[in-house]
Amino acid sequence: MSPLIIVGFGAALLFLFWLAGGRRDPGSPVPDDLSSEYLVRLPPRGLLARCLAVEDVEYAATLRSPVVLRLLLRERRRLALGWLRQTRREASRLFRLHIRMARHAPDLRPVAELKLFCQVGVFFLLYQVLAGTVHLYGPFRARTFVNSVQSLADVLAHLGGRIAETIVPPAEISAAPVRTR
Amino acid sequence: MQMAVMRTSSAREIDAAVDDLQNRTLGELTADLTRLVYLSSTRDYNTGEYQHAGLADRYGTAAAQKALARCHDAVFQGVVEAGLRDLVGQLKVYIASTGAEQEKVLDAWRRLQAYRVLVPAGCDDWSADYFVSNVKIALEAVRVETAAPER
Repeated sequence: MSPLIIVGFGAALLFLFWLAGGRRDPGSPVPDDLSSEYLVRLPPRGLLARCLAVEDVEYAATLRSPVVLRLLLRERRRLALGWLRQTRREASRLFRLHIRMARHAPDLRPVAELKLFCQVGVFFLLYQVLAGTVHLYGPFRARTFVNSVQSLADVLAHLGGRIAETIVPPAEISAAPVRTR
Repeated sequence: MQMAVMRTSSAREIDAAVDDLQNRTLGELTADLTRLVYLSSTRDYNTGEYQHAGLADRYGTAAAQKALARCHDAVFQGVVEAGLRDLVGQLKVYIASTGAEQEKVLDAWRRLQAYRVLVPAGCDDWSADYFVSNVKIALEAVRVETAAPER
């Protein structure tokens, strides 16, 4: 067995022990005022697609002005990286929230926790790859990669849904659904 | 019994105020960007509240404020979703509507960045940043297009 797998397995086990250490009694109250915290807050996804539309680059190219084209590419790169950073921040916030809740959950499910831990790990790994690609190649050449961030947003929304399930009863979840803007 | 100064507005009153605003004032303006400038100019920079005497007289202060806020959001959404070519066109229409010299308006907008106040209060940071960035590029594009009109 590779040392990397052993270290990963050990880290996952430690994470589970840490979660289990903070479990509360089934009768103890759930923290209040979390109704808005578990909503996934991301900028409108359609706007990212608009931001990366090739038509804008084509239009800027027709102006035959290197200044406009350079400004457009620089701004789009900055915005794409900003969008990625916001996605990462939101994932971190949700994961922190989940950990906070899981530490007090009376019915900790180790397999589900491990799955979530892996999902979040993959999410952050992909974030680093995408941010690096956009930074090096610009948002338009990396557009296909950036579009896959939108799929990551689905993962994030799913993650938010799972966190919601751990926090509030199903009836309340349907009243306050997880949303991406 | 004395009436409350700002009574609660009903959904019907707000809808009527929105229709009124769209049909009268906003309908007379030619581009979404012009409408956006108009709507944000009705907002008090200190309190963030919208003020429109005519609309408030007809529908009440609360309904007028909500109608202006709703229209502001909707028009902003339209502008922020517009492509760069479209935005450049809207910017030209707006500059023409001011009656001022184009170069002066472009220069003032670039230096003072007055377009930052066009963003509605409820807008998220990234969308606001995207809008500001687009206007910045559009200003440069208008300058270039004006300098070389034959292209």
